[in-house]
Amino acid sequence: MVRLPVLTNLRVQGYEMFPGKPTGKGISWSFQPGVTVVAGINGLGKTTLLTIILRSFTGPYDLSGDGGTGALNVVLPEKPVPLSSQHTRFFQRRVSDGAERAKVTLSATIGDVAVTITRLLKDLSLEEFKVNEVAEDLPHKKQLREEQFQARLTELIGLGNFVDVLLVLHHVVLFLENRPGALWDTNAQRQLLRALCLTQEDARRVADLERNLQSADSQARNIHTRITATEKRWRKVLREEAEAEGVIAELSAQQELLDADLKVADSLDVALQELDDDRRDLRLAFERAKLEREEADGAIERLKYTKLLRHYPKMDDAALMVLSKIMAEGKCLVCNAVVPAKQENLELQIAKGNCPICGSEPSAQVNIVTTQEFEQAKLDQEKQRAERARREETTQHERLKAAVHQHKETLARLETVRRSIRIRTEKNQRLRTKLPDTITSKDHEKTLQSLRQEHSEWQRKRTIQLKTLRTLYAERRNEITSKSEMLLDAFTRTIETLLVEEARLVQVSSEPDYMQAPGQIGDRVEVPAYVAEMKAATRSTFVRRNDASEVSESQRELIDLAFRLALVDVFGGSCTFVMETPEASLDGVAMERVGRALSAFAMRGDNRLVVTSNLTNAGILTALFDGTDPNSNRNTRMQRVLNLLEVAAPNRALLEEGERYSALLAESVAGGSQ
Amino acid sequence: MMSICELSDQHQAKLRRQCRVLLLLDAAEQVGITPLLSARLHAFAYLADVLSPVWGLSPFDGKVYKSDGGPRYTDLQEEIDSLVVLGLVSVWNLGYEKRPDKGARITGSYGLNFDSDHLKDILGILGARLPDQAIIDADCNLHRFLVELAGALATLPDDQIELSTAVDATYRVPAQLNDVVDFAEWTANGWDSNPTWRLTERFQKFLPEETKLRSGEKLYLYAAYLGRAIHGV
Repeated sequence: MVRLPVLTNLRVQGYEMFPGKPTGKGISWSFQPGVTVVAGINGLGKTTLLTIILRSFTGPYDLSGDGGTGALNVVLPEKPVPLSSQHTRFFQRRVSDGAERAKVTLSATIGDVAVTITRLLKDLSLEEFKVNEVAEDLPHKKQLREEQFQARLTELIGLGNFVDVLLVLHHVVLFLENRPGALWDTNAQRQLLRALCLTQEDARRVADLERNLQSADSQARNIHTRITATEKRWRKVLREEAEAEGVIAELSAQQELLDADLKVADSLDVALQELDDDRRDLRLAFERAKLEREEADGAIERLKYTKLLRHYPKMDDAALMVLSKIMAEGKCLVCNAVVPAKQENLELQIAKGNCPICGSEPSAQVNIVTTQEFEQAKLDQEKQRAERARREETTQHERLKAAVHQHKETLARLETVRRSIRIRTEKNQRLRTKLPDTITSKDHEKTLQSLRQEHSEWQRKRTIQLKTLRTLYAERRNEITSKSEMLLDAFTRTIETLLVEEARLVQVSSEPDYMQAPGQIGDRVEVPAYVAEMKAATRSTFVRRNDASEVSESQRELIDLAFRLALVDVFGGSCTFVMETPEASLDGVAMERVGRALSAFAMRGDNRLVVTSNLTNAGILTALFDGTDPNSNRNTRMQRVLNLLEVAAPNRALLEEGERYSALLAESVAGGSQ
Repeated sequence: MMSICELSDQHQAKLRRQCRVLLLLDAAEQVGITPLLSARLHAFAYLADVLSPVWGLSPFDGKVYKSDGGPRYTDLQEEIDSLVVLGLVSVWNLGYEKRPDKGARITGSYGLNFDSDHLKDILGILGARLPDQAIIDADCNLHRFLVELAGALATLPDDQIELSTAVDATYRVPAQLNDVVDFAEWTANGWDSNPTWRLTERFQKFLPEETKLRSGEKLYLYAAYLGRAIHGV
């Protein structure tokens, strides 16, 4: 049995927003059975006061870091989530002194146990926790203090863990302005039924299984995503490798050709060096041979020139030179022709003493001084030398020409090979860029294998969790639905007082989306759930309203309110139900109806109802008080009003229009009783 | 008439050598140092080769056979003799000098034969006269270089032109006697293989930075260097 807290006392001290009356007293309020109205105009701190009540229980933790006000996820957190700094310092940030001295003390009864929670408002830290007037021995460390507090409070309320306490506070007990859903939020509804219907142990097991199932599904999906991406990369690498096979083959062939070229270039380099040495040697030999030949020829020419000069001392130098050349070398300087017959003839004429030019005999000659015999032996010797020199020159010249030609050819070949090397090297470089990166398809296959194993493992875990959860829900179905009739009745009773339209709650089965993409039917878990059905003006039968968008805003709120109150009735026994500005979305007639319904709840058992009003539609206050105590007078009713017009720090509107607001409040409270 | 392209390589080379001789002699003529003794003409031919990079030109012959008595171009001498016979070159004091190894070399003093009916036209074609007469524009530049070099060498006393090769940076080193000195034929380092050119480039370092030596000035400075080097200065 769950024991919901029944608020008994609230003290807020040292908080600038609520200086109190007289100033400095702060707020000191005793919640009586029945209705408590927190009255105040906008900006006086109604929401802040209700949040103080909420945070007295939750401390700096909630279902999420932002205060747990949104729709719930399919699974609840394993542990209470620390509030963000912004939310932890919610009260501190609203006052100028940083709430340094501000503290709240909230007293409540949980079942037959009285608890008192004292917290510092600046950081929500737990200062003291009394159970039956006895302060708990709390550890020094804040986190440990909170953990101990949470465990004790959870135990007293009778839920599986503190997360479920937070769940019930948000989705059952406190119906604050942001109105987190209870019926409409299917996750919240399922979690509430789990927390309220099952034993603490089963409730924890289901929550754990849900988390594990979702975690396994998430892991499996993440790994599947990695597998898909890896497969994509693997296929790409496979394609690249397939292409690379061709590239590698081409590269290999090109490399072989390149190696061959390099080898040829090396050998040509060596050959070229040898040929260069050869041609230099031959050039030297040729130069020497030329000079030798020139000098050898010169020696003959000299002899013949001397002879000619002796014969013809007045002959022109040029003519002497021509004749000398022909006689010495058999070559004509005029036409460059080789003339051995002329050479022989000239020598014969000279030997006879005839003129070498006209052939006149010595007796006919005028310019001849004397006839001289050639130094024939010396001439023959010089001739032999010149002949050798000429042969040598010719030989060396031919050899040099051949060596130069060979060198030139080799150099040309080498240039060709070097050009080929450059081209092949560039081509190889281009081919290498086409090769895949160093991660091979085999590496990807290994990764895929490992990922697939991991994926199978998580799938297996998911299946186990799913099966276990399904089995557990099936086994505990009766426990969850055992109070179904009571819940449906309680809802019907409540909604009848809240809504004009006929509405009812029906039990159905739902399939929570534990897995993002459930595949087969076997992947699903059926859990009991409730949906609202309403009769519409145009239809005689009940129409199921699966979603809050299928009803009006006020219908949405009132159906959810009815569901919460039914849950309290069925599972919580007595309770303090806190509702912020119930009149917000209601018209004047509906307000009276709702006021009466809420007052009826407040009057049951030891229930207490705390509502706030901003006096903009104060008719609900009248309805509330008329419903709870139609015979009480204004003063008695005002004792149930925590009047922020008096105890809160006044804003400009209150300072300027305070009396009018007070009068409006008094009138609203008194209603027809004054 | 046969064009030069239809001639054999050998014949073309022969014609080029003949043109070279005519240009060398014309340059010498222009600065008044003709007739040139054989050794002087060969020395001039050598210095024209080794100093051609100063003018931005390639040498006619990128090598020289280093023998005693200075550079001697057998091929060139043959063309000199031919040109004499062709009447384009005059020779005086023809003779033969004995060589140490029993042989002999023809000697003489050479100059252009301006009585030739063809010399003037040939020199015009070779760029040694008006630029518009030249078949190849670059030949005019070559002729200007040879005239500038001849002018520089003319600053030396007559006998020092042939003696100067003995102190020339290239001819002096590194080859031993009776070896080929290669300064541009089969060298791998371009003009860096030419010590004479490297030396002329160093002249700039001895001058203020704002003073930029012209090519002609380098030739004159090098001639002056040769003159001093002959005397060991």
